[in-house]
Amino acid sequence: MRDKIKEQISALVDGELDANERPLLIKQIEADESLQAEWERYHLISDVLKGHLAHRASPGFAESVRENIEQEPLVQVSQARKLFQSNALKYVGGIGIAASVAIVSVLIALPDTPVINGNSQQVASTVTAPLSQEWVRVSGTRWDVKQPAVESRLNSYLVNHNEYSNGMQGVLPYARIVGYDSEKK
Amino acid sequence: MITPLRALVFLLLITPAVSWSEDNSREAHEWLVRMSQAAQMLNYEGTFIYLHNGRLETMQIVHKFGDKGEQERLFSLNGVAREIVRDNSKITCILPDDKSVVVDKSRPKKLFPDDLTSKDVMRLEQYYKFELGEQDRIAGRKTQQVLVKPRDGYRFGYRLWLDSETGLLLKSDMVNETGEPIEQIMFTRIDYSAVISDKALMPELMGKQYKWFEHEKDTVEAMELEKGWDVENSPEGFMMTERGRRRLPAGKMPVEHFVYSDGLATVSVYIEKVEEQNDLMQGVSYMGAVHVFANVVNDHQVTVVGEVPAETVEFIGNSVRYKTSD
Repeated sequence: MRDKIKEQISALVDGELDANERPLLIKQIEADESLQAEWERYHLISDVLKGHLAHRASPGFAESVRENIEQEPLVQVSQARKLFQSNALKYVGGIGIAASVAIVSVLIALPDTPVINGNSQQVASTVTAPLSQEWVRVSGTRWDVKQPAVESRLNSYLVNHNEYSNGMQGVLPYARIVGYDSEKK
Repeated sequence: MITPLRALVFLLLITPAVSWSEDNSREAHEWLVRMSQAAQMLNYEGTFIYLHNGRLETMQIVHKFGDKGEQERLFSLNGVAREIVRDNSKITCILPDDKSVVVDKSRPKKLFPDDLTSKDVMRLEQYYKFELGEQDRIAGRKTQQVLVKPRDGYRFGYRLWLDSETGLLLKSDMVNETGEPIEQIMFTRIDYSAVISDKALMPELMGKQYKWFEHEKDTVEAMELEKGWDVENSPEGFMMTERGRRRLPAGKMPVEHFVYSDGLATVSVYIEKVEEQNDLMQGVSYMGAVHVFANVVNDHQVTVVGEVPAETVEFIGNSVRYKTSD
């Protein structure tokens, strides 16, 4: 039984498994960790045979990528902090003007960034002008604005801007639109 | 004292270094021209990952070059099934989560100037350093690395991996001044042999109940400019390349649009009268390497958008002025 499954996995890795056998096998692999390890091993074997060894992923690679991504403090976050701090200071400085013309107030907040919490609270409490618009910066994967009108305006700016931008980005501008906030509920 | 012999030794030491760097830079340019042509003219189908802000996404792309010109379809393989379909005349973005479809005019794309002796390339050299990198292997293909390094903090750099045979861009890192990646794209599978059917270029989902935001025809460039608006200053190297008044798909009001470019990085300035005070905004935000700075000037919303550092969009955004004619 076990050997038969192994044979099937080997055939699947090589793309030689019958289409009607695939769904059941994939379910079995999903449900069984040892079969998942088997699946990785067969891929390794296949990579070695095809001479791709230098680029193989280590065992448990998929899992570790997922975990790392969840935990990783990001490059961009540290940058954002710097940016934010400089902005926060400017906003504090410009509050008088902002309040007097009663324009928009801005509250930019980063999650999990205790360093700047003090700053952002300071901004929040000093700005007493009506908070007509909160523009919250989350982790930077999307415009997090409350008004759908604002969001769709930013989206259409981005789509339009992409058509004017030449540069070496290749598919990147489109990837941004397609993938920009897959976690949005 | 400098003897002739010493001078000779000195020359021998210095000459190869200079010409090496020139050769290296020229070779890098040649690779970029190949890359630019490959992106337009090849037929291919592939899967790539997009890594940004700690999120990893997988997408598929189909690209065809034929009698209808360029046609391209790009869709997400995980999460919300967003799609983009692009041809020579328009770009259609299908956003199922917002139940909306955004359609805009498409414009021809050039990744790099074709003519290496042109002024454009000489101008680029002022703001970026071009170098040939190492050879590597991506998606099972041999690749040549090309490095584009910004000379100041107002633009981002690139590390590019090009298919050694076809020139297609298979991996690209957009990097900040210190070389840290901000956005990365990497093909994990590429197929140049696939015959691309028309069906493969059709969007998979297109809800009837979706809200459509479409360009009204020809209202765009014909509109008269609002002359009072001006961008007084921009970071070195950024020059105005276009200016127009357009109606964007989602907006009711016409938008003043300035385009600034240093030859690689592009920044757009949009100025729009917003009716609802609640819809005004101010501040910096970003999405991957795209930074946005919003400001309110003369009761108008000014929004600066570009794949440049925040400093650059802020610089330009703070230079927008409105002058009354009298």
